[in-house]
Amino acid sequence: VTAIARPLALCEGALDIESLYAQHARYVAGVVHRILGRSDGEVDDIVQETFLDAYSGIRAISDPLAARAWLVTVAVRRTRRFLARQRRRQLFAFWASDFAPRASDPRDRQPVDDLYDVLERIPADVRIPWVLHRVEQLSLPETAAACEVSLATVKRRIADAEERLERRLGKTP
Amino acid sequence: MSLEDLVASARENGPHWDRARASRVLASTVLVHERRTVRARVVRRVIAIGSASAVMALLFFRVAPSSGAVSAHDESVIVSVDHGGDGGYARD
Repeated sequence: VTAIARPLALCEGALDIESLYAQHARYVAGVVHRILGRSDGEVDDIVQETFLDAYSGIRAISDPLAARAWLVTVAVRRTRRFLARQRRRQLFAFWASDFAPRASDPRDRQPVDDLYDVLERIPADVRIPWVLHRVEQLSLPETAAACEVSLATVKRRIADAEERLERRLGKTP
Repeated sequence: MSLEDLVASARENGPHWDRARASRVLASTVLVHERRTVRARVVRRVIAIGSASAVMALLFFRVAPSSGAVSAHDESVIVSVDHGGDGGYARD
C-alpha cells in the first residue's frame, strides 16, 4: 500500500468540500510546507487555492479514493506557480527581496534550515519531485502523477536534485 | 550532518496545523468561493443582457431602413454624351 493510497481508505462516501477539507487539509498543508520549507501565510494561501480549485474540479473525479492524489497534484501545481512568481519577483526586484535568515537567533536554527537554504537555490521543477519522493515518501509513479510529468522525467529530476544537494551540502562547513 | 539526517529532520518538520488554523483557512476558502460565485453570476448576467441588447440593436438597425420611404436614388441615371459619332474628324 502506497503512502497516498493508505489514508484514502478512510475517505469513501460523498465528495462534499467540507468533509474533503476535514480529511485532507492537514496532509495537503504538510506537503506544501515541506516543499516550501516554512509555515506561514503562504502555506495557508496555497491550501486555500487548492480547495477553491476543488470546488470546481472535484465533480470530475469519479473515484473518491483518488481525491487525495488529485488534491496533491493541484497543491503541487499551485506551489510551483508560487515559487515561479517568487523567483520572478526576486529577479526583477532583487533589491527588495527578503534576505532575512530563517531564524533570527543562530541558536534557534534547525538542521533542516540548512537543507532548505540549499533547496531554495535549486529550480522548482527539480526541487519539488525530490521533496515529494524523498521527504514525503511518495512512490515514483505518485510523484510523477503529482508533478504531471513522465516517470522517466521525474527519475531524472530526482537524481539531478540529489546530485546538486550532495554537492552543495558537501561544500558547506 | 549527512543528507539522510537532513531528510529525516525535514520529515519531522510538519506545519502547526491546529483546529483554529484549519477552521480559519476553511472559512476564508468558503468566503472567497462565495464571492467568486457571485461575481461569476453577475458577469454571466451582464454578458447575457449585453448580448441580447446587441442582437436587438442589430435587428432594429437592420429592419428600420427597409420599412422607410423609397429612396430617390433607386434608379440610376445614365448620362450619355454624344460626341457626334465622327470621332472628332468634323473639327478637322
